[in-house]
Amino acid sequence: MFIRKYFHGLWPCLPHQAGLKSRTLRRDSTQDVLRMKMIVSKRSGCLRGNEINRPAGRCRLAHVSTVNNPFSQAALRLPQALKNALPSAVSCGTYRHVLACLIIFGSGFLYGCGASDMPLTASGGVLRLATTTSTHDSGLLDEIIPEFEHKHNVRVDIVAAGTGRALKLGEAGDVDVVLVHAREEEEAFLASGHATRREDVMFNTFEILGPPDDPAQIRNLFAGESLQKIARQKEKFISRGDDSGTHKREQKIWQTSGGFTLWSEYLETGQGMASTLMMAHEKQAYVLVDRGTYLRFQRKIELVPLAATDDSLRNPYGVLNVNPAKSSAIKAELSQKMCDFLISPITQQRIKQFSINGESLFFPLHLD
Amino acid sequence: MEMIWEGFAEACRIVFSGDALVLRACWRTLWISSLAVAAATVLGLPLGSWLARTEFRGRSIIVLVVRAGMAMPTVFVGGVAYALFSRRGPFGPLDLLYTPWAIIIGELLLAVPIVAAISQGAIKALDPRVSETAMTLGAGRFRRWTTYISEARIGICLAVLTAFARCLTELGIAMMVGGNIKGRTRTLATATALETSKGEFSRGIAMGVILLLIALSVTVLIAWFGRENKDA
Repeated sequence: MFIRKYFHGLWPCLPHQAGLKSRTLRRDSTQDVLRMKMIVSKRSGCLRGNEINRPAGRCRLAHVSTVNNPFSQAALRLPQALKNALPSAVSCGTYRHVLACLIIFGSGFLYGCGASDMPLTASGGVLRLATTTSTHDSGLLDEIIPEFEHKHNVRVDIVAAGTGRALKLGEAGDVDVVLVHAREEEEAFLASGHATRREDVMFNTFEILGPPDDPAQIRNLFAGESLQKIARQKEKFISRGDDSGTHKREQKIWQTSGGFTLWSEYLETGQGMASTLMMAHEKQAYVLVDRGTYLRFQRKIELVPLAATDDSLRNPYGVLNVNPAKSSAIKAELSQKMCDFLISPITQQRIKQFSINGESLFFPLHLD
Repeated sequence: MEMIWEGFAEACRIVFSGDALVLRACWRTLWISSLAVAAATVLGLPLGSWLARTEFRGRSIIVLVVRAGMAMPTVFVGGVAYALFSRRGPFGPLDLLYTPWAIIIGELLLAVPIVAAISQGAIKALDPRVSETAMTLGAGRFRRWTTYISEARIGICLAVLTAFARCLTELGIAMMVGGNIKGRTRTLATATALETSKGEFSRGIAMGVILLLIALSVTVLIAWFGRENKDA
């Protein structure tokens, strides 16, 4: 019945009936062609015996221009196509199919339930700390936070985001503590009641990096002057453009040094510090970068620090503890403890000792 | 929840007010992914049908590799493309890094296995009698090939659509080799990531909604190509 369905529209087209031009067809597979010929001959008797025994590669067949019409419905089996697109181990039988799915998803589920890369029992709960990517990338927190975790038997989840997002997370009450470096925004955050407490923790510095041959000649100039000179000479400059602390600082330097006018080689990446720095390296462009990221990448890039460090390149970090009135999930007591911990003499000493490639990175503000 | 509604409102606002930056990002996303998928179809379709229709030693291994290639992580592809186009890489002198062309090449690498694997499945699923019949009717090699393609067109449309969906929402490659440069290589997906990282969640959702609208219109277009021929 399948055959009838397939060849139904085909009968009138067969060679001896339609009298169409014959031609020699090259091989597909000998057996295929023979089988096909037998099917055709059994049904209609249109091929003679001696033709069946002929070598398959040279049998005479008709050429018809409307090859694809008669059997189009039968071939359009979408589920079949989908099934075949799956790995064959999964699709070779319904039960095996279901079983394979169960194994895959089941093991994923079990893994998700059982696995945790935190060795702590964390009976004291979880404290969420939002911080900037640059702080997180520096590795400082990995150095000092475990002590806090052990001391208070708590797990600290660190959410690394740009300053803008970190503050938004605090505003939404999704995190307990925010550690960022944008003093004005921090003060506004405190003033509008999103936080109950703000402490200065430490500062680091920004650097203006550029190609060693320094096409804009900014070596040892102050920050504002350097940027303006780069703009005037239309040299390549890569900006974060992501509302991060570093980007905000760049905008501030533009503002205080006499305004910003866009030029064609000023590129906004909208990415994190590390990617932006690598882009500047690839393009041999000038870039404003925090010292921590610079030190980590020092050996991978050809750019060198050029501008002189002045006050506009100092970068103070503050810790804010999110107003517990925002959400019952906020751990008020623990976040207070975190603030105390960060400004405690022991932690401040550790911050001072923290270094990358032998160069210290952060300068504590509570260590007199 | 509020954020989601704000996102929809923002999406409408962007679309109707014709926010030049976003609309240009839409257009850029669309042509980058279309070009990548078109190139991937040109390469992947012959590969898929070759794998479906010829027998040789090691065929199944190639099929497995191609299928596994569908799960290729975009960041991996991005990393490979980055290494190729970096100033120190073999194609460094072409200066393609951080241009849309680099994204297209990266997405092409991503899309070829998808097109090849799904179209291989679709063509393999055809009744063997399609080939036999085409042959009885005297179709030559090329003619038989076009017959498979036309018979398996729904599966192939699905392959193209899947590849397109992957490229349209592609983030890793666009970030790594495109660089998300404002006005040059910023695509909708990277713009969404950027808005979210800035804390502009509703704007991020708005971009996502626009991306979905584009995906919807492309799906409709492709479904139209793959529609069943009612006359036959």
